[in-house]
Amino acid sequence: MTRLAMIINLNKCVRCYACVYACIQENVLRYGDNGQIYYPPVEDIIRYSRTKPFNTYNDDGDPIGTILTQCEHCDDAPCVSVCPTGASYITKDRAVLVDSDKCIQCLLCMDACPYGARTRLTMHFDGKPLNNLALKIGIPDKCTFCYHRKTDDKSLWTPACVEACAFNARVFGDLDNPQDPINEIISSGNVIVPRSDFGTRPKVFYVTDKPLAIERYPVHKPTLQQTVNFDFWSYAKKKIIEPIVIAGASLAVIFGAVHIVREHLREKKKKEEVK
Amino acid sequence: MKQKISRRDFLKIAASTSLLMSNFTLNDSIIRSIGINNEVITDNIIQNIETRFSACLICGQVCPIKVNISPNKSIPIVVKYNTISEMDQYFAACGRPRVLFEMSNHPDRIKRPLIREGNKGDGKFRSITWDEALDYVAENLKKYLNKPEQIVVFAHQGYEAGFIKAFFKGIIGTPNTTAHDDTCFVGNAQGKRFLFGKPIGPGGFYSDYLNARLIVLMGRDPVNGLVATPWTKSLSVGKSNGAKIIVFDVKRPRIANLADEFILVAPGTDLAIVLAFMNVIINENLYNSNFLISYTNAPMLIYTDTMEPVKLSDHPKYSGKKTYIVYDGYDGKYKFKTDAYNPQLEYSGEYEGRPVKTVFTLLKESINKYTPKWAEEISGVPEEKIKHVARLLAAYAPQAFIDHGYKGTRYRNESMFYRVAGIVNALIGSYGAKGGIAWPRSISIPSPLAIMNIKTIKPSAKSIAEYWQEEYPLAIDDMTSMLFIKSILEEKPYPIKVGIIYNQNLISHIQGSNKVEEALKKLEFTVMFDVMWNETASFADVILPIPFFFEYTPLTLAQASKTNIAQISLPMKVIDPPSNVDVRTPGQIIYELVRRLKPEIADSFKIFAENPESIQRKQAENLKINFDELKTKGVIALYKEPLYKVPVPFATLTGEIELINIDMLSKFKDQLNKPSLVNPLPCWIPPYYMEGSELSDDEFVAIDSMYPLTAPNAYIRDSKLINQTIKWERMDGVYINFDRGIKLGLKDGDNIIIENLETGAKIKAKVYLSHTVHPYVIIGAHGLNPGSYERGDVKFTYMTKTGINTNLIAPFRIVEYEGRAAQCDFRVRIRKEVI
Repeated sequence: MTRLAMIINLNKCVRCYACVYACIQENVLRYGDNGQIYYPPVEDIIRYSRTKPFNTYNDDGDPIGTILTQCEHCDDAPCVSVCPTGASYITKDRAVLVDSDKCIQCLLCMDACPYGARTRLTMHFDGKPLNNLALKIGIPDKCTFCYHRKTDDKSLWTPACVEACAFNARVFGDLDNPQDPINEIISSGNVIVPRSDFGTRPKVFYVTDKPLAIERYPVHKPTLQQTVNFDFWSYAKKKIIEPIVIAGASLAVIFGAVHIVREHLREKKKKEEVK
Repeated sequence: MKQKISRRDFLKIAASTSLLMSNFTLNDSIIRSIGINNEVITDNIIQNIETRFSACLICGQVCPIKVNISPNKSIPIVVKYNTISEMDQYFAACGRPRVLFEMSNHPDRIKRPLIREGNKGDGKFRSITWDEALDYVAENLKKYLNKPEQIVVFAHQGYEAGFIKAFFKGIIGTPNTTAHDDTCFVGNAQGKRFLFGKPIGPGGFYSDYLNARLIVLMGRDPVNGLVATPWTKSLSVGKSNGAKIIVFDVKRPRIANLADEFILVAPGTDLAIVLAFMNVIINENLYNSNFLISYTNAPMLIYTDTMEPVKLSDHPKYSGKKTYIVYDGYDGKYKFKTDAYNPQLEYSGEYEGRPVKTVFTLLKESINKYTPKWAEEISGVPEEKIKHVARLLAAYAPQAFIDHGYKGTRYRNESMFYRVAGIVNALIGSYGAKGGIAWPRSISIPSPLAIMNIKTIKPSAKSIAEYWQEEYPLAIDDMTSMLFIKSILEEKPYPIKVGIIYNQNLISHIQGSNKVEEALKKLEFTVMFDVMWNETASFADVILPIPFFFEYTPLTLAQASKTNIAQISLPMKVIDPPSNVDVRTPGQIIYELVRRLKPEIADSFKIFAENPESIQRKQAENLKINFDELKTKGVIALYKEPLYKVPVPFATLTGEIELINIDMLSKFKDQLNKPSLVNPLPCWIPPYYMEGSELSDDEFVAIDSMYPLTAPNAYIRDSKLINQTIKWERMDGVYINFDRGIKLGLKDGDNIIIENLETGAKIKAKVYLSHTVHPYVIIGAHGLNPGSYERGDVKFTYMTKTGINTNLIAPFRIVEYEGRAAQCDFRVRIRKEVI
């Protein structure tokens, strides 16, 4: 059995954003055939990174420290339980993924997640993503542990955020493998489970000498606007204007072709009559 | 007879068929865009098939990186930090190089050579060919080949900044080249001069965060600060190993997230706190006597009537150094230190009928008045807190220190602060200790001109630095950008006609942008080498675009700037510049200029244009580095750890750490007992902004801080991802104290005008209110405001423009004696923008 998990050491994290940029580059941005980069048409692209830092605060409103948040890949994931179609599911190695073919965009998963880990982008943008588990328009999005990097059942891979971190603040491993270094850290007793009161058995743990920061885990459930992120002009352009222009052009072409053929036949008939 | 199809009919049929077929495709798009909601993506196309090496130059710290590339243009480059696994604690790269994939096709990139149109400062340009550009530059340089001193060179960032300066100095013959250090760290270096005999910049020490037990940071944030990510890595490792961190700052910095304690302090008053630290450590006998006796001139006897050393003699061990008379506690006799068994630290007496005291005694007497209570009144830091930190420093020593710092041109008194902080580190014996202040290992990479045995000349004219050293005796050669501006404006020692600006953003980085603008307009001819638009570009006559550092192989190896273990990188071309960009490497440009200006030596410069790797190889051979091994790894380290010992002899007269610098004592004796930067004894000097009345309700001290997602004045400020991050982090504005902001009727997100009443200069910024900002201060990340310098063709598409750059509004004021900037030491008035 494999049980995938991650540890984030907040004593080592310097909030350099390397992990955030790595995630955005691999899983959010899209690319053109000639090196173009396509960004989602938002002003807060960091929100759509699958891992991102937040400040935490004490009761007096004073900052405590940074916490990096992402999907916890819970063993008892409520987003999986509520999913009516099985689109949200748990793999055999205990990662929580989304099968976009099955997703009907009911958005129950976004509400069910107590950590507020899911985002959703509905505004279209061009280009091709780099992998088949990258952000998809309309589908609730979250960390996949870069599952697309998996090559076989025997070996673990390195998620983009772990690879990017020069400060060794992230460890990715298998809880069911006693030899995995992740278990050495866990058995040291320094690891904190975030919001164990949620009861979801999360699998992204933290090391910090400021446990209050974990107690004040920043649950940022997306607002309605962030969930729907409806932009009238983007919608109108994609769903109304573009189709009208294309349909109009198509009709012009069809009628033009018909007219050319009819004219050709008429001319031919005339010539024959003259003969 | 079969009917033939006419050509006209054929064309009609062909056109109709094509249109019909393309129509099906278009309709398919309609169906897909309206009908299907879920995207179907089956490709998983990440294939990085090659790794190339480079050394990141975004902030100038030259961190080794590796870059994965693919021939598939739809796959972006991926940058990671390069490391040596056994020494990983010394290697890192920050988030910035991760966004390099954005830069090659950035809309603000300068794509071809440009020549000014209209007036200087309009920012209007037109494209010209490389030949036209180089001919024009050569024509203007030729006028001054017999008076080369009238050409000034500002060169800073980039692999070849040194090569550019060496070329203009050794081939063209101007003595006037400078980096930007007088607007960066020079105050820090000046402080170290008093202790170590010569100015030493931040790269000259290594605060050993890795092994420290207590790290005290004052005006320094290795996490929030923009530079030296390898130091950040050491700090991160040290923190996770249990190091305590105490932070003093004018605003809660990011390091406070990792720190054990954050203490708010008034700007420019860190000096008061370290004077009080000295007071506590000396008066409570918390100092390390052995260290002081072994490595410093603390026991040196000084005649107090004339303030001269009692007697000096040639040092028996260190050639060129002097030993001196001490009082030997072993037998109560006066002896040379090298003969004494037990030199006394504290002693007052008479030598040959004249009153004498030890350096240590004089120091003790000088700081008696600087009590923690006194320091509290100036800095706002509670007396008990000051005592507590001083005692902690002593308790954890030698694995404790006040960080040796970086930026040193914020306040007038900064050099005295760094001197006194250095004395505190000496008092507790931190220097040379593991976990204290160690020395980095570095080597000198032979310059390209030297390695190719190209004959150079020694400029004959008096340099600008030499001229101004009469008025600013501590001004440092090659660190005089402000004095260059002064020379241009005042035409002293001679008129300056030509400016060469290589990877420097003078308008943005030099204090008093209005004067810089005036100087640039006065120059007869200005050439700018750069990659993207910046605030200085409007004032160039010709702009020569060069590639990004990862788009060419440079003509030198690179050493990590804040090297601990002499990390030598091999930068190589990672990707080509885009096909629509016509740039030339610095080596190619210099070769072309040589062909035009000094054709007789052009052949020897051809290699810089055509085969830079051969120069890298020669440098490697000279340093006994296996070049082919370096090619496969990208980086090697010549040492395993920094130097953990006190590397005597220093450049002082005695070869020791001089707590009172004897050379400075003889030069500046008249400054004793004065609040002077060159007072040979430590003393309190108020910052400029404290001269005068109390701050009124709408007056603040303007400060800009370093920020790890930008690098002053460099192109990364204009990255789309980084600017979205800056907004996410709410660093896209300035911060003032919450209560003061409410009193002024302000709220988060308001636009304000920040105005310097002395110069009239003003900028617009967004304001945020915070409880963790000192009430005196208005502060934001440096460089996130171009002021009025986005004009004409000069544009910054994504850059945040609502922050602050104090240089744009500061007075052009050069700090006395030192010839450097004090960029955050002035008052401004703010008001809400009324629309």
